[in-house]
Amino acid sequence: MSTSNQEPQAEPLAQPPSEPMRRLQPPTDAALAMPQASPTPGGTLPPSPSARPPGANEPTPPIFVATSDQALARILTFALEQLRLPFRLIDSGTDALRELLAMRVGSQAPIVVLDVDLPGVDGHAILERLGVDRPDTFLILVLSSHADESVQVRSLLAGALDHLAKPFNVRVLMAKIQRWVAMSSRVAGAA
Amino acid sequence: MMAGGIVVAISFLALIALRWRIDAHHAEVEAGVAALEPILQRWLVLGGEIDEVRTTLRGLSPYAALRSLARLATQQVTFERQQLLARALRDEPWVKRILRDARSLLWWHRFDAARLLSVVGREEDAGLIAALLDDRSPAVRLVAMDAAARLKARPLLQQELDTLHLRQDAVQAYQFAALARQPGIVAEALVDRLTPEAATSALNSYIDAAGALASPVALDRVRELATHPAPEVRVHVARALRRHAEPGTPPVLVQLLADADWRVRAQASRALGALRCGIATKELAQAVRDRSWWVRYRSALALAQIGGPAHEELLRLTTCDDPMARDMSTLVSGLSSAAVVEMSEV
Amino acid sequence: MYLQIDIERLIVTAVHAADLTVLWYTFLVNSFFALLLILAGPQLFAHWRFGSEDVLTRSLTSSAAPRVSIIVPAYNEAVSIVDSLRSLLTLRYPYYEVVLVNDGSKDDTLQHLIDAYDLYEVPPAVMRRLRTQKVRAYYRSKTWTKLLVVDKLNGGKADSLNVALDAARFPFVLACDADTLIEPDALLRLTRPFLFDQKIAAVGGTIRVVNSCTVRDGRVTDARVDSRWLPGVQTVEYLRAFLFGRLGWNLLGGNLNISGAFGLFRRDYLTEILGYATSTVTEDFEVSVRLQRHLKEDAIKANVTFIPDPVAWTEVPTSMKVLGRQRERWHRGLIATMVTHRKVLFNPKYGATGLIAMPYYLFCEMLAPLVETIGLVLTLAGTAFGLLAPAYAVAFFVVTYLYGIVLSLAAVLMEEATFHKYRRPADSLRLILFAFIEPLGYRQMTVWFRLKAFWRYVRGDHSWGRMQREGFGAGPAPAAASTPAVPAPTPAATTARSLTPVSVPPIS
Repeated sequence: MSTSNQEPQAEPLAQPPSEPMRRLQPPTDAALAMPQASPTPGGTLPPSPSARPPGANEPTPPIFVATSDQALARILTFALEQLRLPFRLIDSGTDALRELLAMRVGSQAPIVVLDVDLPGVDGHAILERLGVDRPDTFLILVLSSHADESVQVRSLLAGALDHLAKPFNVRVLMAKIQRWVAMSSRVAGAA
Repeated sequence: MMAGGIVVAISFLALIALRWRIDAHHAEVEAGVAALEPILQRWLVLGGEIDEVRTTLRGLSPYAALRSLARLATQQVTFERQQLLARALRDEPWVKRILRDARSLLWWHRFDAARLLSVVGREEDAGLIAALLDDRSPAVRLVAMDAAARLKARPLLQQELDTLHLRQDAVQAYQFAALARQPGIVAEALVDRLTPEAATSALNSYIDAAGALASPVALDRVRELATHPAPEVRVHVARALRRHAEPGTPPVLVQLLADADWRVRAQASRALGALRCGIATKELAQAVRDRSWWVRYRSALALAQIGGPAHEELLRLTTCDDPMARDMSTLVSGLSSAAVVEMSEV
Repeated sequence: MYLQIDIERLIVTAVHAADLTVLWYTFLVNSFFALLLILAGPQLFAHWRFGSEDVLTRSLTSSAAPRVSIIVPAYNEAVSIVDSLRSLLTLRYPYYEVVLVNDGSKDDTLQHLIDAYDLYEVPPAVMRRLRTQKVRAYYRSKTWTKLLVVDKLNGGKADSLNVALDAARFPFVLACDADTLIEPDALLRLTRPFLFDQKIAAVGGTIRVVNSCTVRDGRVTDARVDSRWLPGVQTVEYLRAFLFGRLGWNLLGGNLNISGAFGLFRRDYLTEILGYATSTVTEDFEVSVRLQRHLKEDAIKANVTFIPDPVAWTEVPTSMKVLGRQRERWHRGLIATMVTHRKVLFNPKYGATGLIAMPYYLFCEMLAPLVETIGLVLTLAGTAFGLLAPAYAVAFFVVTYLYGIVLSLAAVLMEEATFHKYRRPADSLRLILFAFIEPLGYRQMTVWFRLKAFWRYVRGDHSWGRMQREGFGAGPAPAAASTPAVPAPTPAATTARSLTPVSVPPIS
């Protein structure tokens, strides 16, 4: 089905994000620093240049994507591969919550992309739970199917940093994630 | 008995045939989606030319093209980006083929045409969409509302507003979401209609629309209706004003909080909470002692939402002498902030 | 001599006449089902079209869907309540709440809930409108903002539903059973009639058989048809009852039976008729009839409709004993409801409800087991004693059983042609096989269960029959054994229940 975007084929796919994308990312020191070779989960993806803080030894934690929406999972996979960021896909709320509660977190806060509609435990309940057990541990971006103000406000109040309603602009999401990765590694580098 | 047997046998055979056809169609659509999805995603992620999307769709049957495009576009393409799709695809032969059936006698042909127009509709389709908005089939009308939202066509939106109050609540709510795509034109039309002389049922719908659009100009007119003699209208006014964060609004809401009708009081409490009106703390605290459950509920939630001194007032109520106010304030003050937002908005 | 011949001839004539009557009755009943089937066809096609993914997505994102309170009574559900509640809390629907009522369970249902959902007690800040058993406490959850749990003294299912009706905040309520799995998008689909500009009093959805399906996180991930005889035959029976039986009624003046395991109601109407009746054993059928009565008497133009694609899954009995109790209770409830609401029968004031639906339930459902028994006895005895020509026997079996098989097959094919939940060819073959073997034993058995209902009704028995609850993972639950694909780390991922209080007087 989606074999065409999994093969390591066309040139443009292997290239870094297109021009406007790159402009969205501010030329910070961290972003300009040359990447050092480091093991990432999966091993094949080189770490994003922006993800390497000058001083930190630890690898960038993978971006944690929790969604049971198959089409959404595919487009996020494609987008994150374009950004060359390591990521981990989970399709169940129960598993997502379990992993997030157990995850070992270093100095860089892991980024979590959380769909509200999840089987087992929904995104809002995960947020509430993390707010009690691990407040301010993750940088959380919530995705939901409805755009009502109240849904967005309650995600933010429950501890999310941002909220996007479907269908959202993937390029905006990519820019946000890039920005967060840069910020989180800079904070970690400074610490 | 023979006749019955023959009827059953015929329907049996028809079903077998139908099953084969539907299976084939299903496979065709799935194949279409599988072909289109990676192409569309590349376009969404990398930007650039839309040609590939066009060529892929051209390679599918009109049936499969419509379904894969409708499914993927509603799920993944933002409204703004759909405009680009519309510009690129409207003149494709397969699109024209489907739109030719837009006035067919068979509802599913009109339904498909409306679905397609809701993604690729352009200004020149206004006449067609106007006809679909008045369709016999409610399903066609519903999808046509999305198609109408694509265009900046004043007559179409006027037509929608004229029939708004004839629809059931759920359809109206659906229509508001579509109308909100063209806030400028709709607000302008609403201002003309929001007069005290208008028929009550129509007026209620216009007030709701103004609230859903959160349009300041229209809501200014709504605020003037706060003294309307019909309690129904005042209920709608109080509810819509929760989206009108202007200095003139809180005094009007405080006034509505003393209304004789409990529904008005409940909606006014809710609006004061949504607007975070600290100045109404005293009145809201009094409303937590109201006779009506809904007023107690809404005003306690409002105090929690406003926070600060209002929240302290709520905590004070948990030890007051009125048992009902005590129960309600204890319940609400124990809720998390996210729960307060959810309960007060819904 | 003369006299003797006359008596003999009289008996023969009487037997002939009786058999002919039964023959005609059965033929007409089955033809009525065929009519329902024909009426159902176009609607099934329409809903299949309307149910397209893009239309669903639109209704989800527009938040036009009405606000819904899901009300769930629970009695001694400790083994599965945590998981079934989890599936209710993760539906794909913009705004809803879940009100769960613990009906004085004797096991630790409440404690399980308190532990799993971080419940804390809240004051009784609830509007009370209906008279019910005493409520002990209300609980809210720290993590799930849309959950409310009510703990009350035992008072039966209807009483629990009434407590939930009072505690519900939203204008619509979805009544469902604690052991029913609702598909994630079922509620969204169930609200389609609202978007199609109808004024709605109640909407019913389809119930399917979950036995031997794979369930993960409270969702059916792989639909299968049970290979065992009893649940397998019931799978076909449910398909037939829901897919075309109820759909056809939409065009004949509205449904009289919105299932209590999965039905959406407008709350005002339910409170206006003072909620569920605690005196009946099938509170869902009774409340549907009373609702229709109320709508007609107060001239409220609101629809009670059924739509086929929202699906809830339920476990059906796998033992004869439990099935017998269930069917006997359903039929007893049907008889009691018909007697209570006899005023509606043939009463033109009630429109189609009085002139079509109620007579249908009287003749085609309530009296069906009696007529079928008489027919079977007459035909067998008559043929054995040479009173009837063998042609009669053949005609009887054709009309009763063959016609029935054809109707079952049509239901199976309709399912295959539209929603096609069962993906494997083996399952399709099984459905067809079970359609054929249903008249061999199963049908006669259910006739017997329903005959018993008459006897118990006359004796004035109002009990529910013993509830036998066996949870998944607690002992050798049969459904567990046949679902090897259940993931190991979540032992309670599948629910198995032996008796489900869903009143589905199925089409015979």
